[in-house]
Amino acid sequence: MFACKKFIPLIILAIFTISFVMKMPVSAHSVLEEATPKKGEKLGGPIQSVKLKFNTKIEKGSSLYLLKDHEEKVEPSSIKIDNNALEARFTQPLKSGSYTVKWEILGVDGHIIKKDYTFTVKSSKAEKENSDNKNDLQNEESNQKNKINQNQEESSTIESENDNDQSVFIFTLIILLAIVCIGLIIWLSGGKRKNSRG
Amino acid sequence: MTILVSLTEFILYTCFGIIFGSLILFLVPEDKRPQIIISKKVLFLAALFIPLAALVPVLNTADILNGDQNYWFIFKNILFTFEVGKNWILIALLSLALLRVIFAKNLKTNKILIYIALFITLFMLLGYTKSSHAASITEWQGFLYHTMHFLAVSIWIGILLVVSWFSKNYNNWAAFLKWFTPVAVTCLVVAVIAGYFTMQIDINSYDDPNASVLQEYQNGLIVNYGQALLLKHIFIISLVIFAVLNGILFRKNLNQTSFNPLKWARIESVYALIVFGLTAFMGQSWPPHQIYSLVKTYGASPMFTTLYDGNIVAAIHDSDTLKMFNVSFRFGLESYLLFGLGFIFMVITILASTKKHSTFVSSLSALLMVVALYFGIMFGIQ
Repeated sequence: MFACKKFIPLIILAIFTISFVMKMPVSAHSVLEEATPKKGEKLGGPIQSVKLKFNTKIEKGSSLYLLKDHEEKVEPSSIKIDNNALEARFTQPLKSGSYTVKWEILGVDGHIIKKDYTFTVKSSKAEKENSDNKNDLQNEESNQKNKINQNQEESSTIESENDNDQSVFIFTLIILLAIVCIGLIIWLSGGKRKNSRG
Repeated sequence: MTILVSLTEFILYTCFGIIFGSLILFLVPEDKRPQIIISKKVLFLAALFIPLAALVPVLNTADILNGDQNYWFIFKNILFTFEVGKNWILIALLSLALLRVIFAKNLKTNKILIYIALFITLFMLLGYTKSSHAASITEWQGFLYHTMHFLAVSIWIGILLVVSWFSKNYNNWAAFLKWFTPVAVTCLVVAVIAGYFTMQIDINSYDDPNASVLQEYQNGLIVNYGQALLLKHIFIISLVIFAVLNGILFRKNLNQTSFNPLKWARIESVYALIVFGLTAFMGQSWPPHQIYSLVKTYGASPMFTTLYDGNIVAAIHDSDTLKMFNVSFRFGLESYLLFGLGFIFMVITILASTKKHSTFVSSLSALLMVVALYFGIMFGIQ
């Protein structure tokens, strides 16, 4: 028992750590719960901040930026993180156009979660500009569709090659395994050398 | 980077196992276990390595955040404000305490010291599971299940590792099995149940809240995480086969003088280490919560793309409208042939060990069983 006295500090440390573990805040995974502006929302006037609210605490280092009309990057002037909310402020009010909010947040388990959503800003002044944009968008869409079609064509040829390769692979694998299997069964049934290796 | 982090994680599991295993074996009377010679250096290194390995995810986070600010500042920030950092400080403090106890001259004989060491190790484990993924996404369930899972496995595999690699002889083997078999069975049951609940949390789909666990499991196969999970489960089958062989089927062979149970325990431990490795890899991969965006951002698992005979690009395109994936199975003839072969390999594993005592053949055919079952399942994906 004498030796135990030396370990009293350790016991105190242990008690300290128990309380530490118990006191640690409950943490949870980060999923976007609320966003202002909302996903797909069409705003009538310019705004100057984007607010995201998550179901859980998020760590410092989480951030977001905007992509205006899929190309122009708009960085916020300041980012405020308060427990489970992230607020990004912009020096200039956001002009009309479609904005993709690219957010990247660091959850409490050290995992980064990246996602995005889109909203549009429309101001009456820029009606004309907006319709131009729409045309652009439509063009872009049809372009994308073409691309997808191309992709599909390309991929269907890959698929048939793949198919061939795969059946050869399955066939070889099954034959090989079966040969080894038969070999082992023959080895098992023949030769009565018990305990030769044991 | 992922491989390096996985490797440190793997060593961390092994270290926890070795510490738990040796401390528990010190508590067991000498006539109920083989003679064990484990030098203090091994325990010392294990206790020292745990905080070092646990530091890797902290450095990883610091790396991610490293912008224009200086590294030291970010590192300090993570240590004192992030969950990972705070838990690391706890683990490091406890490891210092554990090192002090291990240094004590009479550690192996003084039961109170052993209990203190066990207690400290348990809290190090809690500090580690606290920042795990399952713990971070739920209030307390994930923490509880993950801790139970980790603890049960550490005790079972820890004792196995220490006995199989640090025993001087196999005296008292029957007496050892008498208490170890029930302990192992209990740990296995706890690990399986707690593991199931941990998995349910880790693979929970956010795309489709109503998806069943089975569906989530199938969908997970698209990414590395799910692939590792499937391989882990198949390897656990081999592990359990060797556990049954060692614990039950070999009992009647024990009085044969030429029979060496340690060799077989080592094979079991190697399969356990493979499972540790796969688990460590899973810990560093993205859990399949949002398969759809995960595949879009990081791509599918290379194992999945080579084996999937459909077309992932077209599948992604189709699912664009639904914003989710659903993987389903239809097993054809080739799958059933492979399952059949897998079953025969399982029988060969058991017969080769009980009838022929060939460690080589039985470990080989256990490995081939894993191969057959894995490809059998993968070829069934629609």
